[in-house]
Amino acid sequence: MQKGYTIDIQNQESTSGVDAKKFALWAGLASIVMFFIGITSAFIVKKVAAQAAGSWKEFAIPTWFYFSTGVIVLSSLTYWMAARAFKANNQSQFKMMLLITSLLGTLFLVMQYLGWGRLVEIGIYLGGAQSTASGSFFYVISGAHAAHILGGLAFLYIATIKAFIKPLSSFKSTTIDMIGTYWHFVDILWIYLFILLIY
Amino acid sequence: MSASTHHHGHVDQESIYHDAVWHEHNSHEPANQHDHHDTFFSKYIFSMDHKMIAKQFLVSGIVWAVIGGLLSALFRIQLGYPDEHFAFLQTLLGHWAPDGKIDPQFYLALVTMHGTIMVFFVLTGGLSGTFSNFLIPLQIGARDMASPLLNMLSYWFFFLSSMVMLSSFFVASGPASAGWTVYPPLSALPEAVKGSGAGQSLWLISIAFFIVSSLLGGINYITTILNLRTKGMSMARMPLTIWAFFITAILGLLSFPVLLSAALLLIFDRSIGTSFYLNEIYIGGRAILDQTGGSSILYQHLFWFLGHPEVYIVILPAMGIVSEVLSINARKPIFGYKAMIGSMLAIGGLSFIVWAHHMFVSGMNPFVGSIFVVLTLIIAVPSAVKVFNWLATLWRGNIRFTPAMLFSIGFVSLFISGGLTGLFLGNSTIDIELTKTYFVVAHFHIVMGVAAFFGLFAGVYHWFPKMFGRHMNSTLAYVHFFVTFIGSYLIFWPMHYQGMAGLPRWYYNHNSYESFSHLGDLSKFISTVAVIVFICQVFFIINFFWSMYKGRKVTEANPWEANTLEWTTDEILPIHGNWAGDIPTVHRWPYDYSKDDREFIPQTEPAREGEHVV
Repeated sequence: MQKGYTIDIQNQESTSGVDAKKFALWAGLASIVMFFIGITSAFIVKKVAAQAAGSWKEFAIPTWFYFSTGVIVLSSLTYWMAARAFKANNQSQFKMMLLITSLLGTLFLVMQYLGWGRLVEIGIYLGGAQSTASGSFFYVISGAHAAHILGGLAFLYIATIKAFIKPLSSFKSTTIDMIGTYWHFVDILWIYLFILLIY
Repeated sequence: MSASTHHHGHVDQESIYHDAVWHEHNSHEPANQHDHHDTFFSKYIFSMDHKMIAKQFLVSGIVWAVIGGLLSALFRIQLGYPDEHFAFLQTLLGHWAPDGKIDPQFYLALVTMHGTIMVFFVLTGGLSGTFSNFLIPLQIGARDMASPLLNMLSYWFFFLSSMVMLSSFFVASGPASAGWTVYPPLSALPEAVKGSGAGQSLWLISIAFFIVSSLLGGINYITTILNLRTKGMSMARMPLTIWAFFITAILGLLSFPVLLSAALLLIFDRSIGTSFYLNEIYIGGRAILDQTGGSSILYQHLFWFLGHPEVYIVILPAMGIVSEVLSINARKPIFGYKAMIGSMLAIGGLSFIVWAHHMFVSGMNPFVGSIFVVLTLIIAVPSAVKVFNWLATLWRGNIRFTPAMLFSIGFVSLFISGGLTGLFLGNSTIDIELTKTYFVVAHFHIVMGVAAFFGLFAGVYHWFPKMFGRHMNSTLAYVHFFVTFIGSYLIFWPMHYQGMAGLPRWYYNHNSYESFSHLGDLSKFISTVAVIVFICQVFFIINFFWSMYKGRKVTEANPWEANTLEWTTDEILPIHGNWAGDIPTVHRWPYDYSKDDREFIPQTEPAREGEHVV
């Protein structure tokens, strides 16, 4: 290696004007979209066919899921406020909003769990002799979404803990943007899925 | 003050001294320098160097190819000699081959695992994994992938997936046996076939890991190509290899997740008792399911939404490699560069809307089928454009018959032969006659199996000097080529006749049917050639590993006199980071061969005064 050069392989500078890491995240989101397109198109095809045959079992969606939808939308809002506080260099608001977002995200999962429990109580099962396609799809679709929430929560928790023990300047704006992109994405994803499931 | 303003100020200040590709912005953070004291583990095992990861994929792919090839040799022995007993089979397979005759259930496992291994582990992981990793940073002028860490993880998920798949050979009920497409209900019920027990579970777990590997790799390839090209390397100056890897990665990114959703629902059907794919099923007169109401056709739709793009994921990298090797060794610019890119984009786009041509006999509405027929046949147009361009590139070229060139020409031949039968099968009226026969087996083996292997071989023979700093032995390579090329035609050409005579795929012993017993001699012939061709791959294996250590050393930086950037590295075996100094700037497209009395003009050479460059 010639003298005076630093070859930084981990952080190559983008030559396109687009941040490579952000771009990679968007590419990853595209693959998640395709996963849910696959699973929800199966749902739609199945539902249309079963309704035509009169074998689609309708059931009342537990109220927990309406609450959780509100909670996840709210958490997007609080994250947006956290990101705004970050840009305004407002440490106290930044960490408070991050904390609230993490708690709302957790609350969302708790509510989904309670919702599933309610479904079991009213006799809607994932599998087994009494299960129906409408119930199985509901569990699988909301469960797959919950898995993606879990991934986002992991990053939110790490960021929250870091916000409480380190100064604001230790955060990169790319990181804040990327967590936001993902968190808003899983929020919008849930709205799409929920509309599809209750429709 | 935000971090980003600081960052930009810094760039402006320092870019006076360095090329824009350098990493000034990190000087306000601890510099993450290349470690010169690599341990064995950081260099060879948990490497983040794209070149080492490429070699990991390549060696893993070779191991898998030997296993996948061996399986086919074994079931060809059964198909060619269904009434004979071979003691060595019992030695090798134990209770799967009692008295030296392969057990019928294990025969199905062999066929299934052969397809799975070849499609996913060799021709996706081994081919795209190797060459996308090796060539993307080197040919676009980048130090590594956008995320070396994800790249390393991509390999290790591949490895994990490999180990799970390999372990399925050692479970008591045997590996998955429902075909590489694992259609339910066969794949969902252990009562249906033994392999649908633990073997199928491992298969699904393995494929889930494989999909993760493939997505991590694909995200990296796309991001790297779009965002890390060196100065002057516009999209319209990229080598066709890079275009091919780019489109391949997009196809994988959009289609593999759908396979994951299909696999997920199958896992639920198998383990949790859902009925996404399952309906009233009777085995031995007994209803074996509590739950009903599923549709196995649903699985087919989801599967083939990946399955069809998957065949292009396999063939596009081979097309890219072949385009590059043909142009270099014909000493001519590739004919119709833009048409080559356009046709690859068209093939990639069409690949998403033709999946149901795999399902003409699934009971679909014939009107729907006819739409898929039209869409399918349109693929002939970009395919024909590519073939025309390859032939026009060869036309009156000053051809150097290197081993890579022979395999590339062989690829074109196979792609034509196999592509033509695609016209038959793309028509639903003919496909309904020929589906599930050896005609289909012949078609896809020639057009995507052997052809993609030829692309792989061309790539290995061509870039071996860059990978290992040594040449492979040409004599062994020529023997390897001619045996494989002639042998492949001898194996797969007669299968068309068998298929037209109605011989069904997957049958364990077709000699026991009066209608097909007259085809037995042909099967014997095919099997014999298949075993010979398989054994002859040893010429490649020995050549590969022997040359790695003992091959003739590469002494010149650019042994093939090629234009692309990988031959401009400071050292023959590039360091991690590829160029010790500045990354070169690109001034022209990569196909200036035999231009203005110059045999080749590297991409790094600035345009002379008055010279028109692409």
